Amino acid sequence: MSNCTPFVATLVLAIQFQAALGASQALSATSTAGGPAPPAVSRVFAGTVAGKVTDERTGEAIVGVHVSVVGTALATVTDANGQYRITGVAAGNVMLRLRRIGYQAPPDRPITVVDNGTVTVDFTLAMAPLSLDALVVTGTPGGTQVRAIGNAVDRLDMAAAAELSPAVNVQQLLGQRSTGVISLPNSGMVGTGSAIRIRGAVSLSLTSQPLIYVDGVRVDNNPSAGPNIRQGRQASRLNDFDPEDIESMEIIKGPAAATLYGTEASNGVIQIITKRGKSGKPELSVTAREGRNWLNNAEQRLRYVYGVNPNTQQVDSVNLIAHWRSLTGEEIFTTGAMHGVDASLSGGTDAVRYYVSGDYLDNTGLVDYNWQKNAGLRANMSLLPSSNWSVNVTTAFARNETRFAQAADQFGVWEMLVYGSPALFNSATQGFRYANPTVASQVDSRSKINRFTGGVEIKHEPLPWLTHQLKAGADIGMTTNQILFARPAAEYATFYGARSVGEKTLEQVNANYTTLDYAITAKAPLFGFETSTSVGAQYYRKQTTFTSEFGRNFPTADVTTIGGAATTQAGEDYVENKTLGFYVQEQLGWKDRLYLTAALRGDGNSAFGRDFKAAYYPKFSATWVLSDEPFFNVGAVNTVRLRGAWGQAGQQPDAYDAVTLYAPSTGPGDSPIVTPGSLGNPTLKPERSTELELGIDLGFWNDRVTATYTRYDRRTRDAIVRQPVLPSEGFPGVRVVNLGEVKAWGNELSVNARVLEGNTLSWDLGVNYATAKNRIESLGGLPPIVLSASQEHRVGYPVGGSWSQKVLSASFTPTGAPTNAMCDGGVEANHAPVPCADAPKVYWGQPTPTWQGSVINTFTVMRNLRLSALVDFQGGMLYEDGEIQAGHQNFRNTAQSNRGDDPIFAAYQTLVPRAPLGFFDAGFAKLRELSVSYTVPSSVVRRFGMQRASISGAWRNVGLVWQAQDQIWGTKLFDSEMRTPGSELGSRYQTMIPPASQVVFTLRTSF
Amino acid sequence: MIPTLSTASGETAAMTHRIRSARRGAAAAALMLSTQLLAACGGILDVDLPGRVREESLDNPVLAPTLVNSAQADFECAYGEFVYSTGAWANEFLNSSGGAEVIGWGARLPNYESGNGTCQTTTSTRGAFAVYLPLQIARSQADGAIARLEGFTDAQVANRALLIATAALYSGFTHALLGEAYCEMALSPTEPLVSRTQVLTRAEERFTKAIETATSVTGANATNVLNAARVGRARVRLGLNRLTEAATDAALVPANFVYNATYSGATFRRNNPVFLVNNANFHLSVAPEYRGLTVDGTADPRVPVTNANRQGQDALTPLWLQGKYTAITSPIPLATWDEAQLILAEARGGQEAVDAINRIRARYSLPAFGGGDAETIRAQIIEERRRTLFLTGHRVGDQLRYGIPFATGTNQKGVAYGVATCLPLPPAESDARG
Repeated sequence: MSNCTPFVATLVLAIQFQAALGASQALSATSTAGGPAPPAVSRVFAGTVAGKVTDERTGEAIVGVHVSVVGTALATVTDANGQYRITGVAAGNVMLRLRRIGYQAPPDRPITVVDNGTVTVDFTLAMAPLSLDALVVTGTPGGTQVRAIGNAVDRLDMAAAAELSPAVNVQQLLGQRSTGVISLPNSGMVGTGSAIRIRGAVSLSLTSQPLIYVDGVRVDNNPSAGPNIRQGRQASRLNDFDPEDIESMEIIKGPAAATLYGTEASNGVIQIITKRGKSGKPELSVTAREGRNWLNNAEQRLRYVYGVNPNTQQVDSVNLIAHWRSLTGEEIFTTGAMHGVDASLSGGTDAVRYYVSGDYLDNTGLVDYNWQKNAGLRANMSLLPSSNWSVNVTTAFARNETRFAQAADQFGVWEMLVYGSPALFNSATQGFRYANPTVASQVDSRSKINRFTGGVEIKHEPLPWLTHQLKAGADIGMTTNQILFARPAAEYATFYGARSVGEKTLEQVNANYTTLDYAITAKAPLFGFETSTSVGAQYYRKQTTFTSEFGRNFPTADVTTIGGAATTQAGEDYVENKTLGFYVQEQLGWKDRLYLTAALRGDGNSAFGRDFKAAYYPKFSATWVLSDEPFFNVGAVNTVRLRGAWGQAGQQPDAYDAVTLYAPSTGPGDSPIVTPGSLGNPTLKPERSTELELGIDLGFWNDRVTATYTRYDRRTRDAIVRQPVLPSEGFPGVRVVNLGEVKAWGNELSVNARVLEGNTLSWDLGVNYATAKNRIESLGGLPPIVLSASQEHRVGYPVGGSWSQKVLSASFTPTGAPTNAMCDGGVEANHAPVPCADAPKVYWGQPTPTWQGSVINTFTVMRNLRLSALVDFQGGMLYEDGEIQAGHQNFRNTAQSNRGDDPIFAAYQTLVPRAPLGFFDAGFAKLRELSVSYTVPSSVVRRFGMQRASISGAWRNVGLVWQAQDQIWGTKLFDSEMRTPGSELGSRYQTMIPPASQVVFTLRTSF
Repeated sequence: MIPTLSTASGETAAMTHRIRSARRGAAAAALMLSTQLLAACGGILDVDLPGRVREESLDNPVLAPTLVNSAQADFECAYGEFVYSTGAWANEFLNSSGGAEVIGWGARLPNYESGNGTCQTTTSTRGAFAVYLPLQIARSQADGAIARLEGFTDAQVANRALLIATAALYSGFTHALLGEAYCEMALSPTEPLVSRTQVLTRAEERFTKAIETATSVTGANATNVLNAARVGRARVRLGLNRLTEAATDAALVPANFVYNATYSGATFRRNNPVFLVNNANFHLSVAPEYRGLTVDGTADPRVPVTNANRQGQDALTPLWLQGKYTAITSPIPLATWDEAQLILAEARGGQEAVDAINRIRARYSLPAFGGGDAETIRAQIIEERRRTLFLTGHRVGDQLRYGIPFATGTNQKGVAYGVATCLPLPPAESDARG
């Protein structure tokens, strides 16, 4: 579908550049005797370097510090005691380098290694939220220091976060810990997840989900997996990974940073870096968890439902949780138990290090038929066969199974509750809608995945100035989804409709991702600059095979196999996408304080139209550590870094959007037929986002207070628009065209402060705040694009804005019908009232937050006890609560719909769409986490043969701190943090089980 | 950063040489690797499409029967959707769904934007009503099949004439349904909207092609196509008020002839959607006007309706089930002798009309109609059509043609009926044309 010929120019350019630089470097080396040159190290005599690394403030050993011998591949990581040991170090003068996320990087320390001797070098490290010397591996070829990168990179110490957080999956752990990054709300069912948004959602038609890599291997980032239950597929593949295995995360947030990832990367990239082994004796770590899930204050928060009680013929109201208790003596929602254990073994020598872990999680949700059982194994190995070769092998296997509390429409316990009515008291449902809660438990919807993720990274330093590395990896997920309606007992058959004879849907989804990534980097001095030239090639392949089987009409309740059904159907689909990209990057560094970078990426993709060959994405960035200049002397300010980046990245169309296709199907007499599937666009190309990012990093009082600020402006051109196909063309759906243009902008501020510092009490404060706005600049002349009954893309307004008529006034007729309804006449009428029948839709709000952030306070008492509270907040978005809307309009089971005394409300009931009956300002602030952790003193744990032990207790989703709006037309919201999980832009949700509260107690030990 | 060490000038020169050599080696290695990658690039981005068919693949004479089967399948899908959707529009059905979609469509609300859904592909509840788009797909498929078949030769395609006749038959019915239910519509993405008369005229042309082509072929299949086309042409000629010609076609249809749209359990798309949406999913309930109908005290078997003694999907509306289609595999009559007789009755009137009505009644063992003045007979024809053609997609066209008022006031949910009569042209068609 495409070819690579256009890449020749890129590659030739790269190779010529590299060769030219080689000559320049040679010239430089010749003419600058005494200047920079590779270290002179003995290849014959060798010794050992060892020591211990501790926290400057607490004196605690620091685990996971990366210790390396500069200019060689010799490196290790400190163990649980903070100790390290590197053997085979060439005798003579060498430099030791230490790096650890969250700590200031000390200057490289010169040491002298003696042949066959051991040099002991201890270090103390100071905490430093603003570490410019930390190593970043995402978005740069081979990795580089923060100070050399012109864009913002968030580096999250997830291992540290996990010690305090009650999170049981990656998404909860990520939470709102990174500025401008949101884990969107998901259902209160255990085993569910949702999408992640970085700097909002600005694509008109494509996914806004960032790319996700695990140790350099691209993995399935589908936030909408699992069976297609009520409100869609709700499992997130990100949550297949065990949070205890994660050492850190790196997040790059936009096209300016993600240029080297090319097509698909405009939504940003999240890199998960898993734990590695440390040289030294084997260390066994065991973490045990015990927790509980519950729906906090459910009965008090659930709205009463109204209706005419058939026994009294009067409007009555009822709380159906209490009602069910009175009927059966049972609770609808119960407290689910969570048990989890993680064990890891790590250790090794300087040449071979290993990290092996296993985990198991048994988690039960708000009803006993909602559960997840996750088990995983990981084996990571690092090999150093020689001083200039290193090999990292990462493997992980996960086997996760979830049973959901929802299935098809009409079979979810929440919809039975919120759509119930006293009018149904005498029906078989006993006041509930559709059926009673017992029926909800009889439907078995579940998902099971067996997933392997693994990769090999080979690094080679043939010369001190030349490195190259090859990464190869695969992510293979085999998912089985099921929705089973076993043939019900006779007394329940009436609730099942067509499914009263039994029905089962089975799906197998095999998603395979393949990654090949090669990069070569040469570094050399040039006219006083340090130059770094990189050339790389990347190949990605995604294959998804989807098979489905359907069976209906089982002979008995015991028969539940598809083969046992009287009527069966089957289906199969296959989707494949490939990307091949090349890049070249040149970086100039001056005295470790000024860096200039230029890069160009070229991509071919199988989804591009046949008339579009390749996409090219340039990038430029600059960063200046002003505070490192000799002239800098500004009182309390110790760190100032200015940075700026301009770059492009793309977002590819869906796999087959460029091709006109017919779909095979079944015709008369079971004959094979073809039916129009999709109209292709042979000129289709990726949408291209261009971003300018400017920022400043500041440190005060020796980095006791740090602040980072970033401003970004992004413009997406050739935005992919799904242009509705004229039905008279004889094809369904849309034609995908590059017509749109979207502008997005925002500000990101992060402040970290050590407010108090002392041996008995210290207080750390972290604040993140971000804004994210967007506006559609063009739809290529198309009329507004309708996404749903109440959401549209319109020029001049945010992506996916909510649009509906707005009633300004109305009155009642003598019979009680609304009349004289006057609506907002819109912009063209200067918002003057017009009859609603003639009124246009007007803008109500946007579907994504325009501001968000978090505040985390951590108190450390006597160095061993830590208390932490995390509040996160977001606002500026308008959601549509479909439950309340339907209650007002369809089911008329709200107080207002039964009172019928508001003519404006009544007028809305006659409008289509009636979305304003569910619109609400969805801003909120939540006390997300409260936690306490106690590190048992070493003197105590050693008595039990342990090296380290800590216990913690944490409470997640403690409660709402603030709600922008708590009721809609008098009907109270259960929770503002609700959203259809799999929806890209949808602001309407319905019948979602609200977020649960969770308490987890954790015991961590290491031996 | 690479540490720097002082070196003597001789060492520098040697190192310079080593660096230069190594760089050249690295450059050469990178070039070789890149060249290898580029050499492989020709096909490296090719992907498989095992589950889909490229458009150009259809220009193959071997696929001629598949093209016609495809046209039939898309028509049958559209027809089933048309039957229950227009049933809800013309009050054969009441909405008994909690879905706003059904409420809006059933109440014919003026700003309701639908009819552009696709055929049923799952067992779940109804999404958007699917009328206009499935009909347009069916039209495109049938006309496309005719064009491709006429580009092939008899040597390439066995039974080419019968295949052309069959495709023309389905094209004719597609145009007939569009013309009867919509006030204006499109027959091409590049041409202006056309009127009902223009579309019915196009339907007549297609039926004529089917009749002429089928006449040249022998065999039962050809005869069935021929008679179905006669019913179809009589139907559209009635709509064009060309009564004599309509009666001529109708009179040629043999007694008790039935040409069905077929359905099966093979896929959801092949299910009888009338049964699915009423009897299985409970989103529609048979309207009161069709419950318990009798003829002089005899239950009318043409309108079999039973009380389910439960509520519909909305848990509010009493559910009444149609019994005309008893399973998801039940066929829906498309062209029948019954309809031909009713056309004959309307076209000729008088005693001939009474005789035609009674021939139908006799078939259903119903008491005979005694006749009356012209107005009585005409009213009876309309009533006989309402019953005989129950849930066959005729009612909306009859209401428009006869000027029968659509429902007014509020429905059983308290939703006020809109004023629309013709089916609404979906915005996807109208908005793009300004």
